[in-house]
Formats: sequence, C-alpha cells, structure tokens
Amino acid sequence: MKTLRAAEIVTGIILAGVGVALFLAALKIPGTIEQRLRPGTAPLLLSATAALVSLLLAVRAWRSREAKAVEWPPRAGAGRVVVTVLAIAAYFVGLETVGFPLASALFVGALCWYLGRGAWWVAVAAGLAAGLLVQVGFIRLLGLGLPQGCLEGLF
Amino acid sequence: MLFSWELLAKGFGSALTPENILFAAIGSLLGTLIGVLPGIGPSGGIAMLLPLTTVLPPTPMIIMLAAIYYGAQYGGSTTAIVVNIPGEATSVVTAIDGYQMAKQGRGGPALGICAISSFVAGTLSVVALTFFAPALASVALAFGPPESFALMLMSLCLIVSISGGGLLKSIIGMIFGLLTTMVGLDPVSGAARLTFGFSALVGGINFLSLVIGLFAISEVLANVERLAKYIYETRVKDWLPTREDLWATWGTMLRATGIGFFLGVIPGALGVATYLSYDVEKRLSKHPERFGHGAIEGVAGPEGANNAASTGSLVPLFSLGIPAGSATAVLMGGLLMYGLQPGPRLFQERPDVVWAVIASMYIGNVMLLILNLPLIGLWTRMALIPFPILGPFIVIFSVLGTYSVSYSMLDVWVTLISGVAGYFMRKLGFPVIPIVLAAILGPQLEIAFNQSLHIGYGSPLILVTRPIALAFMVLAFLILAWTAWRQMGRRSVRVDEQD
Repeated sequence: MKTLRAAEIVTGIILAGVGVALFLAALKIPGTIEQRLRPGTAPLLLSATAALVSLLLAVRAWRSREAKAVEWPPRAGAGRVVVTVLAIAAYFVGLETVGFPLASALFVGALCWYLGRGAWWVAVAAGLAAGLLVQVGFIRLLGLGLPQGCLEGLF
Repeated sequence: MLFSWELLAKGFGSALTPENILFAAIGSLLGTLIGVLPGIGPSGGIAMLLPLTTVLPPTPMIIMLAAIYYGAQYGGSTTAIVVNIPGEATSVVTAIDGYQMAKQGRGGPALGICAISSFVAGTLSVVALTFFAPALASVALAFGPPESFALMLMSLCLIVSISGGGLLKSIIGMIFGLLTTMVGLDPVSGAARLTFGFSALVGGINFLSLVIGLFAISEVLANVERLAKYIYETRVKDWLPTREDLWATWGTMLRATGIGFFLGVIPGALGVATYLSYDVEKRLSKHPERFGHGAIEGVAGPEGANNAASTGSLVPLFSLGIPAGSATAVLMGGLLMYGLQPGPRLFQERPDVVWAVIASMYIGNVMLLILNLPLIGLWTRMALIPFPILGPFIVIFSVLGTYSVSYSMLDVWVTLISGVAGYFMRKLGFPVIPIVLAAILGPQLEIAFNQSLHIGYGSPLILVTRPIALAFMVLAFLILAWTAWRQMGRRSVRVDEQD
C-alpha cells in the first residue's frame, strides 16, 4: 500500500466490510410496535450508508490515476510505534491489577527509558514522579476513586 | 426578567465586596485548574467543587460557582493548545489550530488570544444577557425538537463541507462517528444495540475517549514515530499575542460573540457554537488554507463563541428555569440547594441574588483575564520538557481523564483503539473533526428526531413543515450539494491536467 490510491482501495473495502457487519448486527435489534422510530432503524440506515460510501471510496480510488505516496514510517519508526502501543496496552492491563499509581510509575519509567535512551536515573525519577502524582494528586487530593492495587490501604 | 439600572448597581455593590471578589478569584483559579484535567469539564468541575461552596451564603456561593464554570471552560482549552488534549467537547475545535500554533512556537499567543477572546466575548454577552434576556428567552421557546434536529444536521453538513480530505472521507467519518453513539442502549426503548453480546458495551462508547484518543494518543504515536526530542518543532517565539494578532482577530471576537450567545440561548445547541464559529471564520478568511495549520482566528473564534454560549445558556436558566446544558443543570442544582428556584419568579423574589450574579459575571471575566495571562508562561514552558518524558505523562493524563468519566476500562481501551485509528487516519488523509462532532451530537440528534416524530404523530414531514426547521434542512442540503459540485469540478480539472 505504498500509494494513496492503493491505501484508499483497501481502506474502502475494509470499511465497507465493517459497515456490512454492523448492518447484519442492526438487523437483530429488537423493537416494539408502539415506537415511532424502531431502535434498529438508525443503525440500519447508517451502516448501509457507511458500507455504500466506503465502497464508493474504493471504486473512486480504483478509477483514479493519482500516484501520491503515503508517508509510511521507516522500519525503525514503525517499530517504535508498535512497541509504544504494546506498552500502553500492558499499562492498561496493569491498571486494575497492580493499581493506577504503580502501573503509571512503571509505564512512564519504561517508556521514558525506551524513547530517551538516556540516563536510567532520569527514567526512574520520571516514573516515581508519575506514581506520586497519581497517588497524591489524583487519589488523595482530588478524591478520584482510582484502583490502588497493591498500594491499597498503605496510604 | 425586568431590567433596572438601580438593581444592576446594587448587584455590583454586592459583587464588589472584598469577600465576593475573593470568592470569584478562588472560583476562577480552581475552575481553571480543574478544567485543565482532561475528562473533567465545567459540569464535572462544578459538581466536584459544589460541596466546597455549601458553607457559603447564597450570593457568594453562586458567584463562586459561576466563576468555576468560566474557569473550567478556559482550563479545557489550555491542554487543548499545549498538549493537544481537548479537556472536553467545546475545546476540540480550539485544539485544531491552537496546538499547531504551539508547535510553531506560538503557544503563548494562542493561550493569550484564548483569554482575551473569552474576556471580550464573555463581557459583551453578559451585556446582552443584562439587556436582552427577556426577548431572547422567547427564542429559546421557539426552538423545539424539530428545529434542534435540523440545526444539528446542518452543523454536521457544514463541518463535512469544510473538513479537508474530501467529501467522501468526511461523510464516512461522520457516519462512523454517529454509529459509535448507537452502541449501547436505545435512549427511548432501552433495547441493546450493536453490543455484539459484550456486556461492557451496554453502557455505550464515551465520546471523550474517542476525542482524547484521536487527538492526544495519535499525536503521541506520531511523535514516537519520528523520535521527537520535543513536542514542539520550534522553540517558543512569543509569549503573548502581538498587535498584529489582536488586529487580525478583533472582528473574529465580535462575530464569535454573536454566534455563541445566540446558540447558547437555544437549549442543546451549545455544543455546536464552537464548530459554527470556526466554520464562519474559515469561510470569511482571505486565506482559508491557513486553517488547520495554526490560524489564530481558528483559536479566537471558537474560544469566544464558547464563552459567549456559556453566558447565553444562562438566559433560559434565569428567565425560564430551563438549563441549556449539563453545566447549567449543575448550576441550577446549586441554586435549588438554597431554595432558589430559577425562573421568572426568582427575579421578583430574590433580585439581590440574581443581579449580584449577573454583576459578578462582569467581574469574573476580568478576573479570568488577570489570573490566566500570567499563567501562560507556566503552561508554555511545557515545550521545554523533552518528549521522552512528556509523552508518557500525556498518556497517563489521557487515561486518567477517560477513566474518571465513568470508571470503566472500556473507555480506556477505546482511547487506545481510537488513538491507533487516529494515527492511521493521519496517514490516509481522513479528517478527524466530522467523527468528533458526530460523536458529540449523535445522542442529541437521535433524541431530537424521536421527539420530532412524536410531535408530528409519526410523520417526519414535521421537519419541513416548521419554518425554522425547514430553513436549516434546506441549508444542510445546499451545503452538501455545493460541496459535492465544487469537488467534482476540482477533480475534473486534475484529470484534464493529467491528460
């Protein structure tokens, strides 16, 4: 998918597929006779339109002769993005298990080290600051009911 | 609502006591700090700080709540400009050009013009509230569900027409944005829709998760890709707006005041004010191509409209007892706590409270300007924090913001998914604004349509038989048709050039 043309064809087909899946799901939405607008009407109309317009995008791209390139990242950049997304996902998994303060400290410390590749103590300091900010600033001062995980009851 | 110079003077006398000025200042500062936190918008800020105000007598309490309201509006714009995290729905449009200005080293002027535009629009709209509230209250009554639906539809068509990326991609974005609002329970019957059997989806998808993902997380990923050293490409050049900036935006501020105040009066139309103001400024500009790349009018317009709309939303609250949005509903709760029932009788029974509140709004606008201009240096110094440190903090602030809305991990995962989607959308030229506006307006749009059908005994023709609704529907159709015509014309010119 080096060109925008190819990317739009693929995207259009994928989005059309999503539209069809949503249309099929909308067909199963129950409704009652008394309602003016059945609950499934709007999702049906919108998903059908989404599928059609997405297909139109793919067809238009197929007929086009433009060769504009998509600015995909180089391999190193793409690798960094993938690692960052995985790190964020791991952070989310840890939020309700180890708790927000500890998960935030670990996440910030690890990602700071990975992106900066600088002194390890900078990453550790940033991680500690993040954990403290969440614990003291958001949980204690603002009173947000965030899960504290293993730190529950310690403070 | 009967206007009287004597009552207004007494209101100023009450609002200008050292005690009430202090509460206005504290409210503005607290509101700004709360508003800076993503996910906690004006309504959340007022709700969180309401317990603090219960120890106060009614007049200082309402003065402080109104100041928190204004402050939170401004705070949401700060993170939108500095780190591309819109604090709430009304600061999404500010992020488009505000963040670009910050990246160009002009975060200070962006924040400054926010404060100045908010001050100008806020002050002028309070004048309008003082003198024109009775006449405008009748406008609020003339807008029923058919008019609201048609207005929101027209707004969606406007945004689709001005968004970059082409009409097809904008329409696709708008439709998928609307579909995200259909996930969960039907607002009328309670039937589960598009949940695919997952109980977590029954609560629906929070639009704020989408917004924060599309803006903040995708920006973090883009910076990670290029291994940015700092989030801003250029060092900070200016700390405050220049004379040229003020000259370029004085007309914008006046237009934004008019648009925002009028729309704020209409219940449910508050969310549309910033988008319409942005659209008007882009269409009137001699260089519309600057919008989306750091046009200062793109910041001044939405900010002014937002503040003016906030004031306008007090017209139906004070005159009719109808809250125009969630923040004014919480304000109304504050009034009710003291046995003050908003509506026409409040002016007769407790004019001292009402006129003190109106007078305090003049003061509150000045207070915000005085307090926030010096803080600009603090916010823009974020540019000095290296991205490897700032980036992860942006992620945790984003997560805190989305999680704190309803304490649901689904919202957090939606943030990541929409962040990745937003990253790919940048690459493929899909505009973000149509999705965002559709996600914000979707629930109200569907409810307004349902209500319209009820009023019309099941016939959608009510949308074209009521004059105001018909006018908006015709405008919506014309806008889409004109945009399609223009794009087809451009496309055929390009094909001819290739031949």
